Amino acid sequence: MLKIILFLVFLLPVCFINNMYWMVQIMLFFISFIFLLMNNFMNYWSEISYFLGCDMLSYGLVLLSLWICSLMLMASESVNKYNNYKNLFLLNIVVLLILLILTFSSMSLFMFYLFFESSLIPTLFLILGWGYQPERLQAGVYLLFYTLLVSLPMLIGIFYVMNKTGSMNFYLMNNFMFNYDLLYFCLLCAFLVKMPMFLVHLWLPKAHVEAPVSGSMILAGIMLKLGGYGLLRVISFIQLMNLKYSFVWISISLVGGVLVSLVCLRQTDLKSLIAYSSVAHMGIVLSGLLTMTYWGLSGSYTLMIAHGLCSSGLFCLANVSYERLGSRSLLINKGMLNFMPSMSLWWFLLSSANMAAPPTLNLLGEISLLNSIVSWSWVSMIMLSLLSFFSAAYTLYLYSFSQHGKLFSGVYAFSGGKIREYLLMLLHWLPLNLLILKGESCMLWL
Amino acid sequence: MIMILYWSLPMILFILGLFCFVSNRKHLLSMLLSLEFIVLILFFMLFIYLNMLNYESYFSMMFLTFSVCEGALGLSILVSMIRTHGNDYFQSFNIM
Amino acid sequence: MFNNSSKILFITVMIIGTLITVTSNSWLGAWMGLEINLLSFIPLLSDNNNLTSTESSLKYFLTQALASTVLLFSVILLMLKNNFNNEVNESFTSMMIMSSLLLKSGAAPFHFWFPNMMEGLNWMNSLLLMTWQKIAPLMLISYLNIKELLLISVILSVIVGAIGGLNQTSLRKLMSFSSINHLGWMLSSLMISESIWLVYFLFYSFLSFILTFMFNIFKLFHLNQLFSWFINSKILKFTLFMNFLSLGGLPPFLGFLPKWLVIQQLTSCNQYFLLTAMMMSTLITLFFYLRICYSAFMLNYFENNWMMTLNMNNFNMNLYLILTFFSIFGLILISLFFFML
Repeated sequence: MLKIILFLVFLLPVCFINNMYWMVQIMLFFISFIFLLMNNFMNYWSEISYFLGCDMLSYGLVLLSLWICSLMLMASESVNKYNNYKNLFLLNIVVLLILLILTFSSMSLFMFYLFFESSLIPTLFLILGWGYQPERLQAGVYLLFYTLLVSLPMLIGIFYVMNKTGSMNFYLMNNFMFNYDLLYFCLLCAFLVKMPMFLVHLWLPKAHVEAPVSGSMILAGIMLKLGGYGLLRVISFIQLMNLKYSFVWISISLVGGVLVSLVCLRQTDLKSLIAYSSVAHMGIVLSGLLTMTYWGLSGSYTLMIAHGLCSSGLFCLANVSYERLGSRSLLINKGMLNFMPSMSLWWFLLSSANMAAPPTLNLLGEISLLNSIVSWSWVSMIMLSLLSFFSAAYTLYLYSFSQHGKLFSGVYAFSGGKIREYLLMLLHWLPLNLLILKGESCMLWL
Repeated sequence: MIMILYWSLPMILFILGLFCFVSNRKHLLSMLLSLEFIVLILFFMLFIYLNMLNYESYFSMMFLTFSVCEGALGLSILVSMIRTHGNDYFQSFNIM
Repeated sequence: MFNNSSKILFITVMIIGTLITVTSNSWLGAWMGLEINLLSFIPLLSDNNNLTSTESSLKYFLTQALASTVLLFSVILLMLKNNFNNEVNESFTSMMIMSSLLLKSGAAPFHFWFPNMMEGLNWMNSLLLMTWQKIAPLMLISYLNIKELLLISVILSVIVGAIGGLNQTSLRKLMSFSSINHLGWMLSSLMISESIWLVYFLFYSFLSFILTFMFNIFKLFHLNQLFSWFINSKILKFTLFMNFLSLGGLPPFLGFLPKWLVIQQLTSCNQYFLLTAMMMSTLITLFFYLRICYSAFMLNYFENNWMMTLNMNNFNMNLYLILTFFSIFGLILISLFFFML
């Protein structure tokens, strides 16, 4: 793992050179392909160097963060074009990427916590620095304080665990089980907020609406997955308590998922709609994960990767419209089929991925999550059916409202989609549909 | 009976001095005077204590030196107060 | 400062006073050190031409004189008690000693003079007050062993430091309230071990030095000055305010390290309630730090059109860059140093 980190560290000075924007972007692609070839399909820690290592769970998420970060640079070309502090932007993103990779690949619980918290700071800078509106301050404060309020108790919990077990290593800690309620809440709540579970999700739509496109992509693509990843790591030694309490979180996220889907149906803001839809999806991931069945754990990991690619792609599409129309409102972004028919195809493909249509990885994830949740309790079928229905409904609403119908009459000049944007969409969509051909790399990570 | 003189009298006097010091005075000078009073009580008490150590009262000289320095410092602050504010009323100070 | 020979004299004597306190082996010697420290710090503060600094030197003098008389009183009482076995309770006298020392250092139930006084000082004197003047009383507190008062003081300090800073617009007051908050952490680290206290104190001094150094150069005293403050590079401003996040103890920065040590030690002593109170109030301090940082982190906001060029000289610039580098990347570098040791 250290070679990846060192590559990125030595990419940092390149960020300061002018006109190296695309160079950095290409380098990130380069390193993600190198990392792709490092896959060895091992279920235990490999690639160990220093305190870093990588098993299948880490591997997928590290690869996802490399991929999403390079696509982020591709998507926020306007930063480069208008020279909106582009060197600082590059630096920020590369630092964020380093911190994320360190988070996903550290083998010690404390190191995981350290980088988990650290990755918040560049995200905050991204929202405050490159956001559009004055409300970004509030969004930044929400983001920071929702997460910190619950993760500081987790720090205490981690030190408690360390005092009891004498180790912070994930691999060694699997041998322990803690039967202690307070510890369970300390460890769990931080990840629940990060996921975000319904009721503590309020920071997410705010942050998404105020963030620039790169901020939204990293938030939806990676930051939410940090919560799921952390849960998958810590659930092994708090599973006794989880048996007792998991019904609370599962019920909240299933009912909340339905409510959030209803909220989605009433949104007029493109980004806000996509943000709420990711709350609903992460709700299914969370409830599948907390059932602690084989199906659930595999499915949650699969859906996390699928959702990372898919929602990030949708945010890119929203940004494509935003850059042309100067608004994210659905009342203005309508009838886009008339102007950008080829972009409409991508809207269609990514929307269908979002509603888990057949050839995508989302489908695989959702099927196994449905299996696990229904096997946990048949009552949840009610909420699951509503959730699936409304998930299709709001995605269809998003697609048909933005693409079909009459054009907004206030549009004057317009440019069609650029090659960069089509490539961007392709690179989001292709892994989604290719990965299902090799589904065991996602499903059989346990 | 002599123990009462040793213990209770200085304590009571000290508490009275503290009360005098912290009660809201009009002038800075009166506050400095009450501080001097407290210092005198402390000197009294220190003297009693040192008498119990075979009358080894060298430290009382040190104490007197320090207290004189402190009093002089208080007075010099008083002077600089008057030079900047023109009076030594507490009500003319900025409460902030 | 170094052109004025009397200042050099007083600074030296002030340092000597603190050293006497720290190294003395009797309470009377400690008291003498504190007095010497007080006597030499007042002339450093006062400035004939400045109304506010005279006033704050007066406030400082009165509180510190009161505290040292109470200290001496309770010390004599303690010594009398040791000579004669009588009814004076030892925990009573040591509580009096402790409270006078808390008054001297400006910890929470006795903190009221501290922000008021900071408001009148210039930045260098504030720095001395926030860092150096804390050494002697805190060292003396570490000799005492009463948990209750210390616990109350810790909890009150962190809470007062957090709540007090919320509604302030003066940078000096913000720094002083944050100092009260950090004092709470220092007192709590004092309960466990002196070396952790030392680490915490050193890092706190380092971080507040960078900030006061820059505030002093650019003569920044209020929050609204930050928005209309032009230095030639936005990046410089950005990095300067990252030091605030470091002071607040956010993870990737150096300021997290002392907090980490304290948290780890307190958990191993099972002080969970105390720890929770401290962390939550630190979160509130982080909120007002973040409010200070807004002007820097929002890269684009409405600005004035004119430009006041305040240039730093080269030496100051280099010093600032080196210090900020350590403050931002210090946590990573510390681990390297650790493995080199």
